[in-house]
Amino acid sequence: MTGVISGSGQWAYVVAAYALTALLTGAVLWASWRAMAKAEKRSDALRTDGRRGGAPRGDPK
Amino acid sequence: MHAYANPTRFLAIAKPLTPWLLGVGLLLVLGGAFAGLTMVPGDYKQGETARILYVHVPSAWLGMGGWTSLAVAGLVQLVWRHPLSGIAARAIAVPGMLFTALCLATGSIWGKPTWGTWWEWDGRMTSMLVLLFLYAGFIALTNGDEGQRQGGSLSRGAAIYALVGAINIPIINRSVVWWNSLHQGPSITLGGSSIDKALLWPLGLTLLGFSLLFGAIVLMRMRRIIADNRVAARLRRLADEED
Amino acid sequence: MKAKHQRLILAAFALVGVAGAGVLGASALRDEAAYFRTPAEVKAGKTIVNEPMRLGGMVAAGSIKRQADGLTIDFVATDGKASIPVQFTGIVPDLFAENSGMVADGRMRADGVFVADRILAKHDERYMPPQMGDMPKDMKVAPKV
Repeated sequence: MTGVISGSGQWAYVVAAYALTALLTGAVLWASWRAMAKAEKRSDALRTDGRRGGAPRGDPK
Repeated sequence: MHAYANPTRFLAIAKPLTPWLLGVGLLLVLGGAFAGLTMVPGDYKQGETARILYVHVPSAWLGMGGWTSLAVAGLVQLVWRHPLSGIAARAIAVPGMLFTALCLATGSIWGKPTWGTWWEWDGRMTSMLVLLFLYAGFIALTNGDEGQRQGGSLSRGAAIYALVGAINIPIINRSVVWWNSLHQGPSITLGGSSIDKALLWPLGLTLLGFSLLFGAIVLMRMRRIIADNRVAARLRRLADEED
Repeated sequence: MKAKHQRLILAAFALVGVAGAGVLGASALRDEAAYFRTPAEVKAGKTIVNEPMRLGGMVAAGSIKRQADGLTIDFVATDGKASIPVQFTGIVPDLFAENSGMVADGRMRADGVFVADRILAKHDERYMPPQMGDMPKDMKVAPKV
């Protein structure tokens, strides 16, 4: 009841907040990048295959 | 070919822009977080816990800014039927929900040592939780719907939902002014900042950094939808040729 | 009139309608959405003794008195217009202090004392380094950007 927060216990809250932010932001960044890279690779592969007139190669999943 | 002309022009800008937003955004966020954790002093009352500000405030602004842009995309979809508007709205929903969730979570972690509680149903926290549910509802409404299979446009219902949900944004903003709340009033207003300069500057770095990362996520998700559209269109054409 | 213009006008009407409904709803919620009541609001309204309620205000300067059991405190909650004495037994947050905000869950006793069973600390929107916090009050003016 001092009106001030002191002591080292408060760092646990700070670290938790930063770690959670890093974890979730990193996860969404990573997932978005992966999904984009996969989709664009599939799209590019299909375009070059199409130009040669053949059926699309690669797994169209 | 109207529907393809715009995505092509968009990709010409989005492809080189994505790595820049990612790189500069990451640098600014890491620099701002480092500064906020080590280079600035704690708060005269809240001590070290005030450092949570540098992740909490950008999350709040981006959660709210995300829905504002979602609503603008919904309006453009409704009125002009621009082919990119629905794609943009779909791409904004996930990062918008991410930062809203981060705002709630970091706020909760901050509330325990300062206020003495993880959660209270005051106007600010309740309206921010409503925003999280709005995002969840939008994602549920648009994920796997007819529009997603047809190029990513929004249904009229989803676009109206985005517009109607926008009424929550000024409510979140004004909640600490209109109603007695546990959350304090706004620190940064048009009139100035009640965060001292010595503590304020890392917030500028993280705010800009997280905004760039938000933009990078939106661009990546839009590029993914456009690539999926092209695959679908190509496969349709190939199937027609075989018939 | 082009279909696009029709849609634009429709959307504008819908927006105005939604905004109007939102503002009306928000102002209707004015009392219900309040997280706590201030001492002046409590004194102005009809206070029901022993009804659970939430009181919020500043802890008046020099008003905190600790009782002999070491756990029970008495203080005065004020909003500048009215004051209500509060009694609480338990542990208060670190930020609870005189001249600082607090929110108390509890009920009014017949003698006009608010008996709290939980106290939260409320802080204001100012952030500054500790050295500045020690400065005399009149110098603690937030920098205007």
